[in-house]
Amino acid sequence: MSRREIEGLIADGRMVFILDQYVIKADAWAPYHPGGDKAIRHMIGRDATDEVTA
Amino acid sequence: MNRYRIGKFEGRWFNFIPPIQGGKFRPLSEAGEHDVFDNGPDSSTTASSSVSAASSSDAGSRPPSPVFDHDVDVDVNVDVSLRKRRTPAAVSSAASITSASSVEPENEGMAFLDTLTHAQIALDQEKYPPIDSATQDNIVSKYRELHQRVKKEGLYQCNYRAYAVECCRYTLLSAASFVFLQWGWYFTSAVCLGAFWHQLVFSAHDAGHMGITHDFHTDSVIGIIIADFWVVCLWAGGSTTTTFTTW
Repeated sequence: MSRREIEGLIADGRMVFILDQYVIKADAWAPYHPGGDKAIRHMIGRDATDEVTA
Repeated sequence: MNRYRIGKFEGRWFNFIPPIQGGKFRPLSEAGEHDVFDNGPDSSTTASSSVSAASSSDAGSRPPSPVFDHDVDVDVNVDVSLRKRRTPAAVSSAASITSASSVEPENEGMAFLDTLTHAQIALDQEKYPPIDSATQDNIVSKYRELHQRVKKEGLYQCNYRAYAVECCRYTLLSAASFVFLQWGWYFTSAVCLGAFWHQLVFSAHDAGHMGITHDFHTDSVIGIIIADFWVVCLWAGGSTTTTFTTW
């Protein structure tokens, strides 16, 4: 995936972040995050590898 | 988490500012002059070099964009988002402060807040390490090293012997409370009962953080069983911390 494609997805309102070189779209799972969806919203468009693994 | 993969990204990722913090994103329908759609082995290097060229040469001809100027002009990004938040307050306080003078009251209010904002930004920039990617990459690699060390020393594992000691404490306190109740020593019994509930909160807290078995279901069940003694609410909606409220 290219950076431009990811930017386009985020502009469409998708919740997309980076985890370990993979691009993750978390729209379906966000309501089930135990810490709430706001935490995920703060990581949209960012590399969330460290936040997710520890 | 693997279910939600939609693609792979090669190379180092430079963070956007998320929409919730005011970041701007262009939909795919808008064409950009430096768009690179192919993400092959050397396109990431050309993309990053074209991005840095764009920020240095085009920054004068278009308003600084949080998308491209991520490592060049952090001040502006912070200013833009802070300004959006402070504007409603500025207008109301400026109106009350400068009610006597009629010479551009809104600009005076904004200028004062801008000074405060710049002072705060300067303080933060002194306190924290620089935001450039070389420093941050260094910090990230040290953090990951630390994570591996903690994992290797087994510090993430739950110490079950300590929990065995806790359980002994609970049974002792609740038994003592019951015995004192039988003897008619009501005050002592009440004290033991309070201590018992007080200690139980410790385990309920750990269960809430998935600290006992690290499995969502098991720890939630443990938390709910402990919570039978109270009404415990899991409140996680508005923040990054998980809060228990009891009543």
